[in-house]
Amino acid sequence: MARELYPLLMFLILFLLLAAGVPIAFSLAAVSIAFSFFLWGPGALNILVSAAWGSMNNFVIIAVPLFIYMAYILQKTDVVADMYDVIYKWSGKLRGGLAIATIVVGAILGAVSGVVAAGVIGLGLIGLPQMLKHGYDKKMSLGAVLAGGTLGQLIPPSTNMVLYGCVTGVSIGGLFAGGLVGGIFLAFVYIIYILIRGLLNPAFCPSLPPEEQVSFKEKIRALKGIILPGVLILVVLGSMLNGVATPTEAAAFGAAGALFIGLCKRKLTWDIIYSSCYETLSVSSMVGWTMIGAGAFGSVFSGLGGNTLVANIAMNMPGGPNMVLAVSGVFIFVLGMFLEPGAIIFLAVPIIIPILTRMSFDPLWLGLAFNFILQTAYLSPPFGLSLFYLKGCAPDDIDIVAIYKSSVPFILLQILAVVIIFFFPSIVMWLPRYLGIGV
Amino acid sequence: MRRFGRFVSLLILPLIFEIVYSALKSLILNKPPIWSFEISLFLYGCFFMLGSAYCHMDKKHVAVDIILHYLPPKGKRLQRIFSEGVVLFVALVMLWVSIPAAWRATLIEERSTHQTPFNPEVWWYRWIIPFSCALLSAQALKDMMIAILKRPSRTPEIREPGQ
Amino acid sequence: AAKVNWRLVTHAMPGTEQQHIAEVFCETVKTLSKGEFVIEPFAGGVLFPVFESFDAIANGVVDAGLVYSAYWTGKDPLFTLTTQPGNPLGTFAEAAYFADKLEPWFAKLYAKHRITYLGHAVISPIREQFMSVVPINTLEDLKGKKVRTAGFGARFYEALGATTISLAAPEIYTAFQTKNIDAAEWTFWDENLRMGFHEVAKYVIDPAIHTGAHENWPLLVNPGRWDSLSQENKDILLAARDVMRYHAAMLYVLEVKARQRWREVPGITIKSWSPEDEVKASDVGNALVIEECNKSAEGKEFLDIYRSTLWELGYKDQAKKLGYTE
Ligand code: NA
Ligand code: NA
Repeated sequence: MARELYPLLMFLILFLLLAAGVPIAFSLAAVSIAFSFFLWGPGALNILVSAAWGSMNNFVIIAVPLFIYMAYILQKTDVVADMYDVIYKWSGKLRGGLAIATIVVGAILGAVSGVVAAGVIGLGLIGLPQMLKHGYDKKMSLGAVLAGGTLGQLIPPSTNMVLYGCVTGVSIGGLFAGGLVGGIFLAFVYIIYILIRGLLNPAFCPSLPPEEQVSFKEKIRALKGIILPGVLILVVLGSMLNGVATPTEAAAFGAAGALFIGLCKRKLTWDIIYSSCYETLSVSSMVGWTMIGAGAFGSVFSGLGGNTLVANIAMNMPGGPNMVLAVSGVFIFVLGMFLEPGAIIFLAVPIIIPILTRMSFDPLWLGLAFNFILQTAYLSPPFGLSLFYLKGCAPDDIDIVAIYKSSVPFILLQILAVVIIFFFPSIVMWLPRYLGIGV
Repeated sequence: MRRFGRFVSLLILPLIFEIVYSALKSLILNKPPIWSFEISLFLYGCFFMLGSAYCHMDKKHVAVDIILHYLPPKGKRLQRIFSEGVVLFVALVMLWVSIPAAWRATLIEERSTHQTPFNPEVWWYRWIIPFSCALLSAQALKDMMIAILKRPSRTPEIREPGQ
Repeated sequence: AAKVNWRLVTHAMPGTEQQHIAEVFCETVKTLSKGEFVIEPFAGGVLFPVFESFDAIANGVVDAGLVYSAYWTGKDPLFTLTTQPGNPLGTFAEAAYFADKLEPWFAKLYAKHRITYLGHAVISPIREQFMSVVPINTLEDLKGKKVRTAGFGARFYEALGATTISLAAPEIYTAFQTKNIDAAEWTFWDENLRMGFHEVAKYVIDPAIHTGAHENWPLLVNPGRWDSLSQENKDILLAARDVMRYHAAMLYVLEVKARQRWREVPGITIKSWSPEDEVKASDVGNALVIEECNKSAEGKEFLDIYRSTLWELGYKDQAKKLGYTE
């Protein structure tokens, strides 16, 4: 069999194992084992141990269990329920208020941390049960969590943008500035979508029933319940943005703060502290092992000549600049169906971006557009990390198919956003230009 | 396994405490404790690695169970056996490869690559990998035997309040 | 297809000038062997985390590597000596001369850990850069500052009164931006432009005081794979290594140009320490080197090579301070 086909064969076998219901982490690991062993011999099996050791020594992802623990505590001490009730009251006749709040919270979490797992699982534990409780459509609720939780890759700080900047030499500050407005723009696109769906179909994301709508005075009174969590968010955000704390430290403050709020509300019991521990363990372990599997799979894929495959396709792209741009975009999107964004940045970006830059596309704009597309990789079936993270923390009766389906409209919205910034580049470029970085 | 998993899960509490303490000390005295960085890594690594068997026992390792819904009981059973077989295979391979790695680390008394002034020994931390994989293999083997012998798939658990 | 297929890993980011040198190396091997010996280069982090390269080469996950020796202090404390705080060597030629002198010493050290050392491939053309977000103009200013560094640098800056932390490359930018660190020591002008550090760190000390020019990339191979090569392929590999050495020397030009670009960035202040501070820092560094070397027989061997090289190259005062006797 031609060597060039091995990378494709890897995708195929991964797909079969996933379809057979083998846990994702172990499907990825099993494919890596088989290919590394048969092609490079038994020594190469160490790639899996390397991936595990790498995860065990990655300081950035410590934020994941900390955020998850915070989310469990906030959820179990009813802090979240109170907050969403307030938002529900405030949104009054507005349909989709809770989904919009979820997107906004996602953007805020994204500004605190660059780790997608933390965002998605945080929202999955905080926002999802509340939306379902208030009668929101399941698909809409899941989609809002996925899309909102993944926003952190566009809104700085973002590990993917740093990697992208280092690999292509594009200004990281420029990417951050563009990503900030780009992320907010994308959040607006999501919100408009939610509003439109709400208008078209009242049952989709119902507003407060008229008999429960309250006066402005009562709305103000309702705010009392969210003073403490509000302060918590301000402290965590503020400490991060002022450089007092790293994202990991901010997450630890968040967890400690959640325990503190629980105490103040007299809702915190030993049982809540304890059960949150082992529920956090299950989800974190799932995330950690999925990262190990994805790491090993990405390694073996690259090692098998994935680069050559990418380069061959890139060199043979048809048509003028815009055609090449479109084809590369589609190509990155397709890779994103099977690989995680970090792997794509290392694998395809160093090959494709120089070609496009030579065609006189603005490097910073290209970087932003590609980071939009890379973000879809988290959401696109069959292999999307955000999808799996959400499955890991959602109620048992929500199956992966429902999550797959819920991601589709939001993937389309992201693609729409890329098209919009193609025709109106200044949407993402004005801030970098205004600040004079990277342009 | 359940008791062990729950014990491991408590590691999150010292992790929170340790990071908050270090950050505050760094903020107030402008000098974080030198051990902060590695101790957080040790706690986190032990937490998610040793927890994998517990996670697997509760079937919390996410799977794409699309086809599963349409399978007849016998097919479901075969699927179970196959799936557990793959997990067992992965765990055993990792076990097999990670023991020599941990052993070599022990011989050279390996220290941290992070090059902090603390510079702790990390060879013992290498043993967390084979240890986790051994636990995971045991769990997968047990689940596979249950599926093969067709006993009731899980003994009903006593759910604790608040769960 | 080729008779020999190898995979080689580096610690450089994909797309960088350094990675380009690795690609030239592989291309040279292919050309010289008429396509019979093909090496595929992989940038750092593509196959596995950079810090896994050591085990990967020893275990044969990859066949060869171009990775900084200072990363392996955890495997063997002797790797600490990859850099020497206070080292005065400032040019490629001097540092290459020193690296050649050290070749048997490093070969023995790597062999102990199941890796074959084939000499230096890339020597840094100038000293590292020391960047900060607050002005650090004197040694006194350094006290209490939080500095990102690695290897011997950590102990050196601690000895000078700073607090040190270790951060991976992609984290440094954000750490600067959020002022989580005050200063960082990180490779060279050209790479630092690419990493965007000129956007966030407005103060530069040139030259950095930690260490002089030194070996950045050794050529490392898996012993089994090296032994199985034909004599011809072995010769080809070494010839291609020498081509890399030429390109490494030419990095100097990039550095000069990049330093000029740094100077032209508005709002950037580039300063040097006073000669008194340089001597003071260098003395602190010498003391640490002596202390480290005296820990083992191999260390003492290293110290002999180090100070006699300094003596030969005319750094006689410093050689004496390190205990050199005529
Ligand atoms: Na972010
Ligand atoms: Na995907």
